[in-house]
Amino acid sequence: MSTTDTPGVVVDFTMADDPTDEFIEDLRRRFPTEREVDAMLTRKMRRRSGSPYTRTSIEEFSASLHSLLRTEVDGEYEVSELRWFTGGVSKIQVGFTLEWVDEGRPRRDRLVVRMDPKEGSNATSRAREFELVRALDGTIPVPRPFWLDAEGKHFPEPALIYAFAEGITKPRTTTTGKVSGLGTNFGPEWREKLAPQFMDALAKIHTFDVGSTTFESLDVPEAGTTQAASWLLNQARRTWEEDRGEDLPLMEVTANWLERNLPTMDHASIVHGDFRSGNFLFDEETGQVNAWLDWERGHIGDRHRDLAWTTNESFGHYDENGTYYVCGLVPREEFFDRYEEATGLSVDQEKLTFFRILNAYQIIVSTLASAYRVARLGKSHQDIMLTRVEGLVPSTAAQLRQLLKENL
Amino acid sequence: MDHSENTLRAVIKSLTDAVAPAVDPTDPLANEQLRLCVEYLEFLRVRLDDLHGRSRFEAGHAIRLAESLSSATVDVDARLATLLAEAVAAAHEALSDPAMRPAQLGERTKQVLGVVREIVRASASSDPDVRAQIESAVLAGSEERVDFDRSWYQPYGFDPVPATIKDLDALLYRDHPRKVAAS
Repeated sequence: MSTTDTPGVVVDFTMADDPTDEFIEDLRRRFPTEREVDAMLTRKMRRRSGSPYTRTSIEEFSASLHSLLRTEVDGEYEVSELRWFTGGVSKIQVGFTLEWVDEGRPRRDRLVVRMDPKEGSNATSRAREFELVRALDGTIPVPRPFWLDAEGKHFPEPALIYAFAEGITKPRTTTTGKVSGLGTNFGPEWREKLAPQFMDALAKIHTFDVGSTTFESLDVPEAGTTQAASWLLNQARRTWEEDRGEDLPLMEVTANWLERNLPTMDHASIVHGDFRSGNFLFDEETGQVNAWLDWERGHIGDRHRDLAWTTNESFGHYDENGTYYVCGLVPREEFFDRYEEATGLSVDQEKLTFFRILNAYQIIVSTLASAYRVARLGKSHQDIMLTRVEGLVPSTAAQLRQLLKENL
Repeated sequence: MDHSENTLRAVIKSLTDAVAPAVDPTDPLANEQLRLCVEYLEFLRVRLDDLHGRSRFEAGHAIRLAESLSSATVDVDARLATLLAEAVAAAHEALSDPAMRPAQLGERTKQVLGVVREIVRASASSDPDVRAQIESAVLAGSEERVDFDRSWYQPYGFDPVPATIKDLDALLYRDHPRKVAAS
């Protein structure tokens, strides 16, 4: 590591652009985490000095798709309607229609390829996403997973293919006539239809028997230990060191607090990682939820991680009477009671506090550190969007300060 | 006379009037990114005049934060206490030099914050009362940084309570309030 004017105090963050083996191994040793997470972060760092991301043409993408399909599909097939999807800061998504024969039956499926850029604001694993969605397929509505290119043999980067799910994420108009993003005002009629499904899905995710499935890319933390929280904290701390371009003393105080307040996990759950309105699709005619999306942060761990995330105020909404609705759907006063009743699992306020603070820390890691490094090195298809999300840091830091003031 | 602000106006107009209509409407990524580029250039145009002031604020903030820790740092690590004093002195010197470029000033700020980082990390294994002093000082001192960043990024529209955002000029020029000409 290089130093500047102050002996023993490293302030040269450019060396993370081309990290040495020593740098990489030091962080692996200091911040142990799950095997697949370790592999993912190590791969990211070993490839860091490589070329920037350049946009794949639709023709090149098509060639990659055919390369995979020739491996996975027996017999003739036809691809049509290949097109880019918009949205998605962290993943590249392309839709297409596949006509093929599956076990003797002709099929026509609308599918989506979901691929990593070279680096993203959240280093995640397509293999983990694939395993989680496959495990939960049939338990809750999820896009049916089809094929996985875990190592990027066919596509430029790891990718997975799953069924296109129909539906919308928010009503086209709300009762007040507005269409909003996070913090959607669903209105009383939509809350009545969607809230029970929202709670049901969360309950089923958290009570899924992780012992009933053999996972290859997900480790199960030991119940009765702090391993689950420790893995997540270490992942965030390691990413902070790998990606940041500056010091932020508030983050150091936060890391200290998190380290000395690691909670014990009582029950290993599948954790979605981004369970909120905006991440499920529903049918506007029937009100039926068709699919839960965005499993890239999914892992096996402490349910309080999800509970803290889902009840984040920025995802909810106050109605005209001043009642706060979690994700715009369930009154906050009822949310935890309904959750406990549906799952038989308790909600621990101290663990919630821990994960609220960890979540805020993680958001700043993504938006201040990772977004900076990815854009600096030109590693994604959305560098310009990543530079914009830095604007989220101040309000998250304000939230973090308030939480620490109450708990330091 | 520098014409950067004027040129940015022209760039924005060019992208909006001439380039945007020529972008393939069936390419959602290209359209979205062009919009984001124009929005950022507009943000930069508005903030251009305050970039130097920002680097001075950051140096001043780092100094104030460091000075709030200095007495407790002696109980954490004497070497770090010495390094902190030296880094703060260098930052003071830089702030008082009108010829100091923002990048050079930024390097002095980085030195101070780097030492603060090491102090907070070292405090984790210190006496709990000393650790609490250090952490409380950082928490208190970080308020002005958060206030500043909320104000700086206000044009992005992300802040959930914009009515509580403080005036940027008041934060930037807290030590040298601008004199407003009588109308």
